[in-house]
Amino acid sequence: MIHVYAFAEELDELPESAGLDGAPLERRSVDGVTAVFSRRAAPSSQESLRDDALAHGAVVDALMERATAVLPVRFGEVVADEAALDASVEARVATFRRAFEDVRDCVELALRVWAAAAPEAETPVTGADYLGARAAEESQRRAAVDSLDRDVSSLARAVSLRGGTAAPGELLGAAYLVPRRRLDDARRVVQAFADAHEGLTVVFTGPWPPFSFVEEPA
Amino acid sequence: MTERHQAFDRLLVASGDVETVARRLDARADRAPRRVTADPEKVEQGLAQLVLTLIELLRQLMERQALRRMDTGTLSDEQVERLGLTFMRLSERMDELKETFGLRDEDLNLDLGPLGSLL
Repeated sequence: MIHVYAFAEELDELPESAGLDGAPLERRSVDGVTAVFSRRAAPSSQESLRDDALAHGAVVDALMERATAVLPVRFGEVVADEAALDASVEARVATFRRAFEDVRDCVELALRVWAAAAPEAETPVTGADYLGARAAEESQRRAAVDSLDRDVSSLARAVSLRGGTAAPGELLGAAYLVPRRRLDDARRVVQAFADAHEGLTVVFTGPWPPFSFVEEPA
Repeated sequence: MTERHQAFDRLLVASGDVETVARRLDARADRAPRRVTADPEKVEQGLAQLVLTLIELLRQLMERQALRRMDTGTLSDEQVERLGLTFMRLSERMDELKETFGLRDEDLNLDLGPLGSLL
């Protein structure tokens, strides 16, 4: 079977590193869409899952340096053979081209903001004070986080908000597709926000391959 | 530990109480099902953890609902006062109970798998 890492546009050369199970990386192009893959005898076992997923990510990372646009494939996608791979690319060449257009020269940045563990001001005396303080706290935080999201979004080509599975106390969980040349601007914006809001926990990571900005893989 | 190195290379900004957040996420990533142990020493704490988690869920839900009703102006001053006092005392009492049973905030949660965590 064939394990697919990513589809790339104008890939100049394959990374030197090996793929999963030490198999060499291979490439195949159909109409300007280059699939990067390696061969495997069997899917990952429960024990090797974590290491394999990291190795998959490392290959995608290496490709990011070598192509104008990379569409990472979610870990675990396999096809039977080269013919099946070609067929799946051929069927969606136009989709791939559009997707390359969308992510070209961009990286993904991940931003998460959490409320402080125990936001305690002075002890309120009355019930109305207590509820009032809680309401003020909530709306202040919301306003701050919304403005941060707006500022980073203004530098981004696309935004992907993670809904539903927020961790406890999480106020914002988002991925931004940002042109490489704006990476420093984005970092400055978030750093300034973090400095101005000591009560909040801010974690901003990247650059990542645009995992949150590709549609369902092959 | 090259993967760790890579992870730190990718840290553009980190500020605030990152350690607590990391601990909470670690607890979430630990997919082993949580059990109430039958060890007589620990059974009390396990049960307390479960019960307090449910109380904390209800407290947060009701508090959010109260804040929303306060926002929309459907509560009288007297109701606001009474609700506020209730939540304030409940919150204080929860803190005491957590301390009694040696539980931290991040212990009061349930992992609902793909749905995320309860709180």
